[in-house]
Amino acid sequence: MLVVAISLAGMFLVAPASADVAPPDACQATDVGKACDNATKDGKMDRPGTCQADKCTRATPSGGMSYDCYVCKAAASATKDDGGCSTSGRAGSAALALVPLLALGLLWNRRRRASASWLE
Amino acid sequence: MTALSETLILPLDRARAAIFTRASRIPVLRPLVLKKERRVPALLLGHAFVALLLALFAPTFLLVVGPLTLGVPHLVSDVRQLVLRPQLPRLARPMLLYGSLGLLAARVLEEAGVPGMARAELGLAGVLVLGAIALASADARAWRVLGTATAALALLTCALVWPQNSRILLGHGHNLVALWLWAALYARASRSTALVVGVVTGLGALLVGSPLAWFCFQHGTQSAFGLHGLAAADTLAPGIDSAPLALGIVASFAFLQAVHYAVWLHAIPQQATRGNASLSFRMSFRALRGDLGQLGLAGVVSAVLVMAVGGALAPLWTKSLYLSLSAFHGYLEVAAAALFFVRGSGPLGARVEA
Repeated sequence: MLVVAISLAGMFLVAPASADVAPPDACQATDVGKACDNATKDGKMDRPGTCQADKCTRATPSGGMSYDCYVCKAAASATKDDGGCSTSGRAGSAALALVPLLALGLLWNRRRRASASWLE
Repeated sequence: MTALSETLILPLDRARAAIFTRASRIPVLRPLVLKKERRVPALLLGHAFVALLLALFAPTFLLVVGPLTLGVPHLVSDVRQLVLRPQLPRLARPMLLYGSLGLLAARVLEEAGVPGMARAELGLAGVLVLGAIALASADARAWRVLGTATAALALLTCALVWPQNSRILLGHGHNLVALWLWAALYARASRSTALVVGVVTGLGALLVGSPLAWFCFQHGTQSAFGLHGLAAADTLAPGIDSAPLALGIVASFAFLQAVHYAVWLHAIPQQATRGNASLSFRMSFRALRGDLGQLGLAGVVSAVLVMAVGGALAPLWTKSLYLSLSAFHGYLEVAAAALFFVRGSGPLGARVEA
């Protein structure tokens, strides 16, 4: 249970979500009209926008192929640079990685103590 | 109401009895019909073959119709077989049930636009898995507890650092988890079980690693219900530049998802039934009512109807919403698998081999 408690604590230490891969600007049918944060504008990714139905084109071995898609489109007034992935976010993630290791150590220690008490 | 339901089911049972009787008279089919250990793998392989053809030539049809028709029933089977029916350690059942509700609530909040819910969901899922390990650890072997906890913590760490990728990977991986759960916990270890797991896993890998899906995509149905194969690739294989590889991943997902449904709706319930006989539709209905109660049954029927109406009016939107809200069951499968592995015995009481 100690492990669970520590992991729960770790959950709340988590920094705000940072982009883990170059995210596409795709969104879902259920998101149409909703705000999204993975639009691409002026070559920059992770811009705020709105999910909209659109026409996309993709390169294939037999040439470009057009298809209906849902895309996060940058809002016209969205000019504020939010900086994308923050260093603090990465640092928080790195710190977070230590929490499970600490939990594992405590679990191991607890089992060893329990084993020792059986031997006594 | 119950009597009316059983009356409506009666023609299905008559048809089922006629099919079984005729099939058992055919020498080639007789052993498959009479022996569960042969019938279930044979039906899974037959289903996988049909699913493969659809995944190759109409992947988006499979991706939309599958969840709309079989999604809710397979969730119900999942919860029944992993939570409601097995003998579980004290507190495990309420923890798994309320944990699943918590995960569902996290997705509802995310759909409502509440930010940061991806990590909250993954953190809660981590708590659920680690809680399952902790509850099963009494009298468990130390190496099972430590090994499973280490793996769970490593996965949780990766999930919290890369939440979006982790959710996509879970979506792909949980389709295979169901197959492995069937093989490890429900089916007897036999050549036919290994054959099914090997064939399905191999076909899933073949779809990803070969240009087969791309070739068939060019000659098949590229779009169904407004969902194009490349649009499906945008969400199922984000960041993959190669169209053939992305479509291979889409076809593999569609194929394994269909197998996943068959495992929960047919293979596991059959394997969990005593003896070689298969349950009639009326017997299955009574068992369902017994597990869920009248209120639960009414809820399930309502959910199926909502999916049917939503699917008829806005298939893509309904499918996307369902896939989002049903994410909890992927975590539930992982938590239950961890619990059974640590305990060393499956839901039917059989030993779980390491």
